[in-house]
Amino acid sequence: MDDEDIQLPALPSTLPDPQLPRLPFSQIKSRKRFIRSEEVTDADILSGSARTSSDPALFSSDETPDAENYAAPKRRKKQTYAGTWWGARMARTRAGSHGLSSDGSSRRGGKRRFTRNFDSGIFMCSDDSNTEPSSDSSFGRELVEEQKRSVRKSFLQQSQSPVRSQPQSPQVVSPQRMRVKQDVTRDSKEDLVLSVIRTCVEQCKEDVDLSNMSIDTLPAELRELATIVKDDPADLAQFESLVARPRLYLSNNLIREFPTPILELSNLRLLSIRQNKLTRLPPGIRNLTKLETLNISGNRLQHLPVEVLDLMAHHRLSELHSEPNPWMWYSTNHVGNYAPYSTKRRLSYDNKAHRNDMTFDISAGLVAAREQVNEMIAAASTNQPKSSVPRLSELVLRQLSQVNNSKTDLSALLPSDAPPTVTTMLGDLYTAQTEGDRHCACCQRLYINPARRWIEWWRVWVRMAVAENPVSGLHRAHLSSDQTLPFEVGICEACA
Amino acid sequence: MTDTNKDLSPYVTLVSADGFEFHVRRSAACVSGTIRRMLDVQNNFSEAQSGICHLENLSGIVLEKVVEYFYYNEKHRDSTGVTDMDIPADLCLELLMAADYLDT
Repeated sequence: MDDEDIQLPALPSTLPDPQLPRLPFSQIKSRKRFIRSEEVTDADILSGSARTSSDPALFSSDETPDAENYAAPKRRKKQTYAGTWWGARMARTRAGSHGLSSDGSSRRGGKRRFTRNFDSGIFMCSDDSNTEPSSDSSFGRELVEEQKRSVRKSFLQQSQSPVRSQPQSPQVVSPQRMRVKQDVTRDSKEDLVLSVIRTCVEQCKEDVDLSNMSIDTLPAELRELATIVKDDPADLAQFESLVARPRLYLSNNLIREFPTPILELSNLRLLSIRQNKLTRLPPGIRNLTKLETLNISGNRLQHLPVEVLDLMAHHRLSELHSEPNPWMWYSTNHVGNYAPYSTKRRLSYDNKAHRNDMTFDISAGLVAAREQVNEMIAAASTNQPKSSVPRLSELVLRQLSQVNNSKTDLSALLPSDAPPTVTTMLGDLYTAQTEGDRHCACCQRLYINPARRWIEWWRVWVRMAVAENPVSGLHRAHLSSDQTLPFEVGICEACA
Repeated sequence: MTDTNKDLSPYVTLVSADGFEFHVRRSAACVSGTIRRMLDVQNNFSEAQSGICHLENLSGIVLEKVVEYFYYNEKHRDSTGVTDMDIPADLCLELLMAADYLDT
């Protein structure tokens, strides 16, 4: 068979050569590699390292903004303007200073410190001040100290790092400064009081106004007020006494202890200690026998000395302003079986006494012992059998109070190993002497420590201030009101 | 105990620091709380047995005045309107210390 001889055509040469590279495969492979590299960059995009302008996509599977991982969006601080538009600058600067002061740095606009610029740079030359400022005047002393301090501060700043020395310096400086300032104010206050007193003495003024001056003590010069003599011819015509009867106004001050110089002003006509911090009145107030008006309202008094009752009953005191005060009030368990002061008293004014414009009445017979006052004395007296003879220590103290006319504090004379009880006894003696002698309510004998003390409540009808209405001309005369006031009574051993 | 109470002499002896002895009636000396406690038989101090109190921090002059006060107190215990005892001024502070010590 010829057909069998038919030679098969040669294989087309165009058949792909097996040695040739297989293009599509290589192409695919390379492309795949390319795509893979692109995918890596996509991951980078998602992780956020790529520089893209769009926000990362947010999916529902992402963390929801729960309350736990909620971060408050940073809001821009609202511009606040205090008051008017021209005050806006003020508000902005204040906000800035707050922000800066928190980190404690001392940049501009930080917390302001109040410093006094002592050296103004102006040299005021007088005739005798050719040298450095005199050290006796308080301001000069202050100035010298300030200069020293500034020198020291600059030295510190040079030697140390400025960050450390800066916060230290105000702490070191401030206490000295404060003390100096207080001294200055106290000196000026005392000077002011003295000047008021002196002008009153020199001009023969009877009204001494020391109110609203934040005084806590009074100088001893106050007794000069007793030397005022009236020079008013109108008084001469009426044949009145030329001795002035001063009125002393001490209202709205910081007096805690009754100023003892007042007790020497026996001519005093009016005494106003309204709105102070008095806790007690001394028994020496009995010296103020010419007193007509006493204003003790707005203090911290719990009771009055019985001498005030005497002033009302036997002397001129007719106007007493006593409210508000935290007066003691009787409770039934306080009331004891004490005979009222009046029945024991020699100059008895019964349970009911009358003066021309006043009535006294022991308040429903209520005489109560005050446990707190009586505590110490009761404890001392229970140890001993009851005796009308005072204790030896009390006797010695009475003798000392008569001997020691100069009213010095005797505790300085004691040896250093003296028991503290003796020192306190002498301290009591000293206070008793400075604030006026204490006398037994019954026999007027002088005592230092009473054998017994109690509180009596007396109802007192006192004349109130005369109220006058300038518009209607209505003149309401002498409103009388009754007050029940606690009085402290102390008696000696012989009367107990 | 009862025997010792019976045997108690009505007088006791107070001896000052500088050796002065004062024979004082027991009731008068017991005005002082300190001496009363010293002489109390129940407290069993040696002073209670012997009846002699040595007061080492009182001088003779002060103790004399103290004893005077003891009798003054005993005499005027129940009377009224008693004048105060006379006390010399130079003894005041020492007497005050003594009074504090003797609890009178």
